[in-house]
Amino acid sequence: MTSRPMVRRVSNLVVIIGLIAACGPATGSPDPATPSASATTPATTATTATASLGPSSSPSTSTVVATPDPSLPPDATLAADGGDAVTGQLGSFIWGDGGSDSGTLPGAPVAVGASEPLTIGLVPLTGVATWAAALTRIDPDGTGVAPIGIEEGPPPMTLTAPGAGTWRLVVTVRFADHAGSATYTWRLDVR
Amino acid sequence: MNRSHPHPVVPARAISALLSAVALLVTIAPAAAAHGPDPTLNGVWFAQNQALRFDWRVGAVPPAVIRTAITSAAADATNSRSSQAATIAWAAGGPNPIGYGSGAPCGVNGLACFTRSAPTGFTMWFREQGHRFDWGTMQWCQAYSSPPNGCYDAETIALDEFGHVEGLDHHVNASGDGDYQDAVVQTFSRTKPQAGWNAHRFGVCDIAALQRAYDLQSTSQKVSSCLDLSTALAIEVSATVVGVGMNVDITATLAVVGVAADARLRGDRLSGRAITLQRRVTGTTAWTSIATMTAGALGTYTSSVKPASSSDYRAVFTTPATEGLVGSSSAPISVRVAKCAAAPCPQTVPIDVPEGRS
Repeated sequence: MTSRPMVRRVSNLVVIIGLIAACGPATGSPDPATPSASATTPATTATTATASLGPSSSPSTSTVVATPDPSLPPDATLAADGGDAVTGQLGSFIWGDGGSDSGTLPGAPVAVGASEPLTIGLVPLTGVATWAAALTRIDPDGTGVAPIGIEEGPPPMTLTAPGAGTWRLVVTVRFADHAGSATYTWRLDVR
Repeated sequence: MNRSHPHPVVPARAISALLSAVALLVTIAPAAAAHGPDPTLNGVWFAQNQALRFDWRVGAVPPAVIRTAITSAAADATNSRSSQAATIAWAAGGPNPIGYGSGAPCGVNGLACFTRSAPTGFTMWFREQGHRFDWGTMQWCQAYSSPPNGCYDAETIALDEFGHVEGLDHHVNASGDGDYQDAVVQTFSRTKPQAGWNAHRFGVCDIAALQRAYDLQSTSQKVSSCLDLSTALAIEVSATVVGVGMNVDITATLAVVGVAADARLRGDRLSGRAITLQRRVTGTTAWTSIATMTAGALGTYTSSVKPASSSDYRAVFTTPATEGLVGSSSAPISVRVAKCAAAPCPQTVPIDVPEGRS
């Protein structure tokens, strides 16, 4: 398993946050039909936390057999023809001897033109066995509809931008040599 | 389990979106609706029924409500594995640590994460309540007396993680995610109140992968309806030539054929299924069902008949609606009834059979 410098991950995060900030509210899932963790802590007045959920410091007799440090799979970038590559939000993944589970993510924003060719790349370059892409139309009210599988198969990872509107693009990559799998999410603002 | 995957009701806006996507993506081949057993990780498994015991990580012990959820999820995994997958339970001093808190090394967006080193053990982490992602705040449903929409059920998330520990990769849903509830080990965890947000049993496609990897617990256990295993019926009779009125015991044996991916299941005997005995008069083509065979041990089914005339017999296993088996028929086997020329007729060698032949 390759462990890469944390600085690159932080850099990517900064880029993502910056792009999200530049393109509008990024807190919470914009899709009540497929909500993720709440950005706005929308607990109703009838909802009360029942316990402090900070880590308990009570002692344990467990013996640590390994440090759970699931190193991260490669980043994925999405580039329109001639445009800057935008790093997707890393969601659930399996990598090495571990993995992580996420909810539906809002996606890293990227502006593209309708029917524009889009190319997905991996950084660092990593072998791909198969990949799949799914688009979900995001309505102006923030709701989404059922995802539509649009591409599936071996590389190259290229697709064509959908029609005008806001879409969530989820790309699932299964890496070569059974190295694992990962999902990446972008929010396409299609002109 | 929806084996036929009928199209769900799709709202008009979905149809509009679909048409838009299709129209603008005409150069892209439509995606195949992949659906089947969960993919698996690296093919390294725990031993059958291996006891995996966990305890809380020192300095990162979950709060009581999360501990309860995780412990319940371990019981869910054990009770719903429908296979000889490892059993999972909390035990003081258990060698596999589960932690909770800001130290969770789950990637930028992870709710929970794991490592596994089969057949040795595993580790697991859960984000703390209130953790600030760049896209929102972590909310565990267990933290609320009235869980709000948008919260994650810790028991479901833990069951998903235990599925990974057993060796399962994320389920590949059919296009449109209409089969989401066929698996708990999902790429996208769902929040209240979405369908599947509080699943407390493995789904049929989780179980399918577990059965492939770890085998059935018994010959009578139901095969996951997410599988589609071929079967074979063998048949034998106690005598192929009998006198009129003599008993013939017929025994059928049902077993899994399967494909390479089903290697662990292949050859498994299947008990407790419905096997029909059929008969046709020798020289004719029409089969008639004459009995439901009596289920015995190790995938055997028996019937006793007293043929009045020479007949062919076969056993038939009809494809069941509730499990992942494909029906089959045995090859026909003939029983010749030898006519007795004069009483008393011998009971073992009919008199019209030449000596030296039977």
